[in-house]
Amino acid sequence: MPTTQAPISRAQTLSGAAILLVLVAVALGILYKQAHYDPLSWGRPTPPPGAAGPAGGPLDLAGLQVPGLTPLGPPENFNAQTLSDKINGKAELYLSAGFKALATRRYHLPGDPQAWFEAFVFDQGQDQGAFSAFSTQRRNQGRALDLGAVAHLSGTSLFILRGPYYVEVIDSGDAPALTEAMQAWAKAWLALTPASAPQAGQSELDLFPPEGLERASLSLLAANVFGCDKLDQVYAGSYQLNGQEATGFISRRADAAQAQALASAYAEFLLGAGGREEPGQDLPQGGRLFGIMGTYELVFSQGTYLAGVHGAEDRQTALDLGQRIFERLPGGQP
Amino acid sequence: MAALRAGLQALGGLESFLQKGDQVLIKVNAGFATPPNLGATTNPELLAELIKQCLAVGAQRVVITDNPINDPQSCFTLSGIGQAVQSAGGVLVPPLERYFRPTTVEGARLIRDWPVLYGPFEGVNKVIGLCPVKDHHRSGASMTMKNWYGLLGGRRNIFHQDIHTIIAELAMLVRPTLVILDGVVSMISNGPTGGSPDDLKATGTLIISTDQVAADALGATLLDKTPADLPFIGQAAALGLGSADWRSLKPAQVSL
Repeated sequence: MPTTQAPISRAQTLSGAAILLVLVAVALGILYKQAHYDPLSWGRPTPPPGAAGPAGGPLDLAGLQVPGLTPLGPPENFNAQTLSDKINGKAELYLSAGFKALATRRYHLPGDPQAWFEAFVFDQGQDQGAFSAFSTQRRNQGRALDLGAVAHLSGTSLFILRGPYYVEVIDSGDAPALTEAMQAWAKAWLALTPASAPQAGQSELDLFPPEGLERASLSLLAANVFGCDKLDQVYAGSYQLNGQEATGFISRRADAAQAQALASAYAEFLLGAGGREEPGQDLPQGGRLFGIMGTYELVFSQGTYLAGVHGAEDRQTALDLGQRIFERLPGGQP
Repeated sequence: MAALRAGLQALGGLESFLQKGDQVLIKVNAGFATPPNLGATTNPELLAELIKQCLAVGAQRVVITDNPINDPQSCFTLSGIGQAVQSAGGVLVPPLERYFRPTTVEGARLIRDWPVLYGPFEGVNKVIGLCPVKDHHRSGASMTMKNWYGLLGGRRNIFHQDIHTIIAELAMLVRPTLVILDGVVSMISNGPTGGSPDDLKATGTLIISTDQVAADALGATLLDKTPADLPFIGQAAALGLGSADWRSLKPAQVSL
């Protein structure tokens, strides 16, 4: 059946032209946006999983109000399964030290989004875990800060230890106003986070002989200590004795049998790594001394403690420091 | 920037590696949403200079990409990489989900049917890796071969359990035109995130190589390590991906 087409009116022509112009404008807009970097157009479809901590608690960074600071975004929360989404290969350091949760948030100075910092609050479950995270990353150049907690400033970054929490506050650049703001944040957070009650009993840290000890070096090594995968939860401190360097170590185990077994396991590890056992009458009771790669290692157990000397520059330094550590352990007095 | 220019000149200029009309992809390390002064990510000034040089020798398009650890928007913005790309005339391609494809590397044990960031490579015929020298808590070091880790998608952290093997397999996955390893300032402790300028050391070395294994072997020395301290170097060399004995390649050295 033949059909006829109605004549196109002027109004229809104008409408069609207008639509085409709009489409061209949209296309040009898309091209423009694609050609220019726009960070706000990106983002993961789902936020990283992990529950925020209880309201008003140390992990509740949404609830933490600090005058003079503007949040750069919402808080992020991570658990043991998602921690590496935030810190990648460093996650193992925290996981091996009892990691429970991480809360982070970025802030900037009002009116200056380029001056920003990010706060990381690691909940390590126990004071020892937080001490491990804090002490094993302590920067030699750091200087202590008086914030009413163990804290130090390294470069312009701030590191804090409070009970089971380890905190890092990392900034975008060296600006006095930013440093002040970071410390204001730290004080506000510390006000929410009471210090832990003193623990009963003697800490391993108190057992290190003070002579020659570099106190700032004291650290808790959580796992794979000195390269030995059986050795964990070991406190260590650096010594300078008669111009020689050495590291003393102490670890309290569940019972004497475990301490003894671990000492034997470490001795076997040293032999397996090419160590040479050195006989001697002057060793602490039950101690074994090894020469390995130009240094000396001494290991022994005393009661529930595994202890010894790592990386001593000479034999006598290993023996002297080992004997002093032995004498400070419960039951090790001469 | 002078080091990059002088280093490339010693190798005959960037035109020895790129031709007019090439489509170049630069894989940066934008892994963390941290400021450039912490050295955890590719130096944005160095990146801008490289993009400009690629365009100057006639590259048709220079694509920059990474699949960061943290969310891409924050990483590209706060690391300064996004602005560097824009100012130098590159094209930043984000790791959108549709850009990943299941991939199996022949002979690999870990990269089998695993999502890999392919989209940004569409049309690309030259690949350059550009990353800093860093300490790494898990692998000992993060350098050119580890940089390809940012091409993996999925729950890639499971590979941390076998970190040296995955790094060697990444070197099987990518055969770059060039790698540029920035050891002008190296992160010598608390890597890969760092967190303080005190984690950094001026090591004054920029390594440019067509052999990523050799580049990493030399880079290891900036961290006071040897290739033997980093098993992934030996594994990659054993797979025939390059030479762990970087001295045998008699590299050209330029002092500024």
